[in-house]
Amino acid sequence: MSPFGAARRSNHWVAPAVVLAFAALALAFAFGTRLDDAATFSQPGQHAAPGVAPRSIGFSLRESLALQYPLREPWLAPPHGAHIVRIALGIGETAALAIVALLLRRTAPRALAFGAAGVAAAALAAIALAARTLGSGDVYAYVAYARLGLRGSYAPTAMALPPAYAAVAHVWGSPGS
Amino acid sequence: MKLPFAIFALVAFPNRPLRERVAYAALVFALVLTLSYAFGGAPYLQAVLQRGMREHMQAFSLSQVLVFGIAAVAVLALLYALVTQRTVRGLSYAMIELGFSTPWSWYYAWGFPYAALDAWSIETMLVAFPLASALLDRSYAWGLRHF
Repeated sequence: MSPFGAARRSNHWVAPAVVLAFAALALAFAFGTRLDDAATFSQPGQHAAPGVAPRSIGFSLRESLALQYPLREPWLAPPHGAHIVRIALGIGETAALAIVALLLRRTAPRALAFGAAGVAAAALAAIALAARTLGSGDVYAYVAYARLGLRGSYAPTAMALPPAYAAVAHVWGSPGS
Repeated sequence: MKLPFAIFALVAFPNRPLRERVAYAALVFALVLTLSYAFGGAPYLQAVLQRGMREHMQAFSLSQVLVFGIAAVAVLALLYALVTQRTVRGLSYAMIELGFSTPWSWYYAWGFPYAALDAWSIETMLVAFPLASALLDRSYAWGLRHF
């Protein structure tokens, strides 16, 4: 008889299995986050990424490392090996969630299983917030707007805006509009 | 630039008659357009259209064909769900291209409203989240030349 068949009659092992699966998920996520941090700090810089054009407002390697949370950007050439390992971890994490889904589908959910899910979710959030690097610089823009305040965020600028912001330049009467 | 994402409203009103669903969806679109015009004016609405046309229609390439093809499938899937209240399993993954651009990993969540209409779809989409997020991570983008 298959393990899932036995579970219907005696499912006392399902909840611990779910807890273990969530624990494995959290451990893999923590390792992946640390790997992202290591990849960010090991970026060689723009000279190592030929043919990759930086964004017009992109950070250089020196500028990125000077930030409180350095950025991992394609034009700074983060190691491809790290991404391969991240994908492998993703396969493992997906497998852990698949196991949880299968187990919970074949047996009535237990309070312990749901509790483990809640703890795992909180742990994942804490692990993410403890990361030392970022994969996108957008958060710095959001913080900047918050610090400028509502009036400052929408105050017209005296500098010419890139073409993509032609609508904003027209409304503000910015140079070049 | 987020105005086009009002299209997610198309699946927000299930279990109602078709006439009500269409009316509510139209109301959401009208509200979004009105507020966008009130805050940004005609130049904002024009910029949404012009920027999309300028950035994504500049040159014919395989990637552009894929992007527009997948986005078109996503739009048709949403319209189909609006009219029939049925989803096509697997098409929730096409929603990441509703931005008509190279997706960021968090765009994966755009498929959740559509997938939530079917228990199997949302379950598989959530289970696949870690792997999809790793595959879509643009910070490691291999050979990405511009974006």
